[in-house]
Amino acid sequence: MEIKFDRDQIFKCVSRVQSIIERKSNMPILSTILLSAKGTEVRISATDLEIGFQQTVPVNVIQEGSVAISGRKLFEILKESRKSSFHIREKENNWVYMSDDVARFDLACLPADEYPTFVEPEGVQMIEVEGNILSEMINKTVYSVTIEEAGFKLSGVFTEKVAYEGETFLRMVATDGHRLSMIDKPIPDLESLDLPNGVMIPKKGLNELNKLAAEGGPVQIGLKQKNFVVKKGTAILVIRLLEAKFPDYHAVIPSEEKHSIELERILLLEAMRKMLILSNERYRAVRIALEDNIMELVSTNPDLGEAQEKIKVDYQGERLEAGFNPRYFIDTLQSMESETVFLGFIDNSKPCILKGDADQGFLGLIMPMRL
Amino acid sequence: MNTIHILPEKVASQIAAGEVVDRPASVVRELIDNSIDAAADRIFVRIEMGGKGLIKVNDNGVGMSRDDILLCVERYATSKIETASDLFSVKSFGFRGEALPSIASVSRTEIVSRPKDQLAGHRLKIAGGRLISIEETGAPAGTIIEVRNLFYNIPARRKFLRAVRTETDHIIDVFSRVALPFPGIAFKLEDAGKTIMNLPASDQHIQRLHSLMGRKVAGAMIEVQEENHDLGISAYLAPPDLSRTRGDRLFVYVNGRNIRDRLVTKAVLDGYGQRLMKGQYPQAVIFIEIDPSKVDVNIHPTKQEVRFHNSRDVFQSIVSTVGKALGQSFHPYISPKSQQEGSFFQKEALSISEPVWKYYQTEQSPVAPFKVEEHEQSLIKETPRVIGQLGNTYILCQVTDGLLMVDQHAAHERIVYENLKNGAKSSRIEAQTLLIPFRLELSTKEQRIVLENRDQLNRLGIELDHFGGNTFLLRSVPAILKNVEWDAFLSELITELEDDKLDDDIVLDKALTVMACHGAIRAGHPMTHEEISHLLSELEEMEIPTNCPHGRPIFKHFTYYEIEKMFKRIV
Ligand SMILES: Nc1ncnc2c1ncn2[C@@H]1O[C@H](COP(=O)(O)OP(=O)(O)OP(=O)(O)O)[C@@H](O)[C@H]1O
Ligand SMILES: [Mg+2]
Repeated sequence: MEIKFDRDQIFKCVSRVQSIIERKSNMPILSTILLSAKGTEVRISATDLEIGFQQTVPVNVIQEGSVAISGRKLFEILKESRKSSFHIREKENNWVYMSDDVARFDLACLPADEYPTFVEPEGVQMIEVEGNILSEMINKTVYSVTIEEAGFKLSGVFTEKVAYEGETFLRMVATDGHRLSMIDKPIPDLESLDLPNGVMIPKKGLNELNKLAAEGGPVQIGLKQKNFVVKKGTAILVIRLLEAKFPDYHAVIPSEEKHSIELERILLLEAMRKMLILSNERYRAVRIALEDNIMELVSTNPDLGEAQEKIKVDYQGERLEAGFNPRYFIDTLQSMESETVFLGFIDNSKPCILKGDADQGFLGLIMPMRL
Repeated sequence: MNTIHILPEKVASQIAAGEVVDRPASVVRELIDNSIDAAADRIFVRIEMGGKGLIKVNDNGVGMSRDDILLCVERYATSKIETASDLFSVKSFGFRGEALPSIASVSRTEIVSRPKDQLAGHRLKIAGGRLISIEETGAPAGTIIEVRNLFYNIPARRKFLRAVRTETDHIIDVFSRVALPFPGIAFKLEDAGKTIMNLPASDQHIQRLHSLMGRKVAGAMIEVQEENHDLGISAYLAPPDLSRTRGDRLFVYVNGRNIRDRLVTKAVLDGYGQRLMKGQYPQAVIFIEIDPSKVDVNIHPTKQEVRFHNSRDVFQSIVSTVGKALGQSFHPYISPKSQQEGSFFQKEALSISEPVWKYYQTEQSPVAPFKVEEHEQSLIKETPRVIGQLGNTYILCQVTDGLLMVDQHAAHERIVYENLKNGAKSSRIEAQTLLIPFRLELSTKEQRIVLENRDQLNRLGIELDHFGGNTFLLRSVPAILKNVEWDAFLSELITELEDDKLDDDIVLDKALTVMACHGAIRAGHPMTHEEISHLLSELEEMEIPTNCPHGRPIFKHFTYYEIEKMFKRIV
């Protein structure tokens, strides 16, 4: 294999896949990037076996072929060089010559034929989604995903199609058992997406997807076997789906709240951050009390002291008091955009509901704590 | 000088009867006891053939007159008590007038003694209990007692004596034990003309600790003293990781008398508590100073057991003294100033220093910029520098004097456990209600246990509702537990609750231990740098950071000295 190219042609792609390639894997091939030159293009591939990424870029192909080159080293060389024209040539015994006109590197590589085969997204039925919408959906749900830990199975976002009010929506929902975040977005053509029972997309894959989507512009999504496939321009991302079953969450979404208040999102966010100051591993709860147009937040920590804040709200119902983990509020409020948030309560054993006008289709649920 | 008299029959009859002398070591013990009672400040012991050939004890104490020498080998002849009531407030080691006659009846004994204020001394010879001679002799002030051919007249007993080596070891053990509480008395032990222990007089216990416990252990021990009116406890405590599977290095003294006592042993174990693995005994020395009228020493013929009148108090005092002392010490990151000065790079200091734990040193640095509270003086905290994670299981950190390895699961388990325990104490364990209740199937027996303990489970943050049939719904869980496999957790917890009710402290503790184990970070779980720092800083706040609730050690410390030795940089 031999190619000549401009630094900028491949640098962005090489740096993007740095988060995919494994640094300390026990499979050395996974720390490499596969460069396959064919026709007038080079295809750049990276994978950790859970996520695969591929992008083709036009280069000057002198000789077709493939090399598996250390992803980290390739990135560093491109990053350190101020020259723009590069030359990569395969030598014998898995050695690769690389040069930027002034510097020359001889790199020890791995046999390219050992590189894992990629799930080719041929013949996958795909629909087009606006990248920004996808990114918003991910941002507003992914924080509720359980931190991955051996044996725990909810470490992904459940994605499914739902239909109501005569429209079909793409829904993402995540929970760690203590809270739930859910967002529905109408997507044109969604009916044609083959997504019968919903799928669980792992958190790491979503983060990669988010990077692609956040750039804006249309993104194509589809499913092939047990993989979620995303295409954007010449880039293809394949995410292996989690086998786990998502719990039946429909029953826990309250049909209506008994008490509700509206208040400025930033005000509540800041108040919760203050409450967090006096919480620790053992005492993390904040007590929310509603009465006489006042929402009072108190966090009491026998080890550290007490914090209290009163916020004016429009509330005249009976006194309501419940404990919550302020961190959960912070996560949700941070992901929201609305100026005014809407909080709904039922009683102190049922979840608190969070919504906002500018957060179309979003619903946050936070389960109370017993104090 | 004493005057010896024979105890009246009714006093003698109240003395705990039984065998006084069973092997050379017990002869040594009795003779040294007598020398200490005689206010000697120099006691030399010579043995030959493991004491089977010769035991000779030479002291510079008050000595005995001719009459006393003649009397001292009679049964119930003593200068130390007079009436039966004296038996209840014994201030000396001896009180029975039994030791010398017992020894004299099974050996060839010679006693040479001279009180300081008399010009001449006397020599008494007695064999198998029969007086052979008494004569005037020139002698140094004090007493020399020579015991030859122990059990020569009882072949059956002599046959049961062990090899010379073994008997010698027993003598060395007794000698070290007896000498320990009396640093002011010079002791020497010679075996066949060779000095094997030489303990010059000093004003500190530490020298004696060295010979008893070995340098490494003795150097690592912390010292603690606690006094309240009629009871004083002072102790030397070795770090928990130097514990042993037998209690042979746990020395207990009551008013200077080395005794065996299950109660005290139990109290020390309780004081160490969670820091010890199950079935382990710490290396420790406990001195109990108590009003002699509050302890009965006349309960066993070898005087090695006592009975405290108020054993509860004694027990509690020991538990709290030991617990408190340990609570402030053996902290992984604490390194005293003095230690930092003698740091890695001072090669000379390093090569001669011993590889001991020194975290606990209580020395104050000469210039203290701030005055700190008493208990903080000993704890100069040093934040460890995290090197990284080994096999996703151990955290490696650099501390001033070497490498610290922390078992992440054990450490976190301890943190969760302590948090839960404190929460339980103030009955404020925060419970997180679950969005989707967790369904679980329970056996009939498990159901009964759950229903019986429902309130207590609730207090722990666990809310279980009967859903019908065998199905229960777990509605809330302790908020501190994360990523727990609830079925496994509950089935283990229920098993622990099986026998008792939860309000029993022990059972509560079991429950908390199970909860901590399930709620703690697993071995093999990768941790970020922040997570590691967070864990370490929480560990730093722990009172007992040395062991997980199951007793496994949390950290292991390697000093530069040990590491350098390993790489043969120093030999
Ligand atoms: N080394 C000694 N120096 C001075 N007096 C001694 C010495 N050894 C023994 N005596 C005297 O001899 C007496 C008898 O000693 P012996 O050891 O038989 O009995 P005890 O010490 O009084 O009681 P116990 O049987 O409990 O040891 C002692 O009470 C003491 O007066
Ligand atoms: Mg005696």
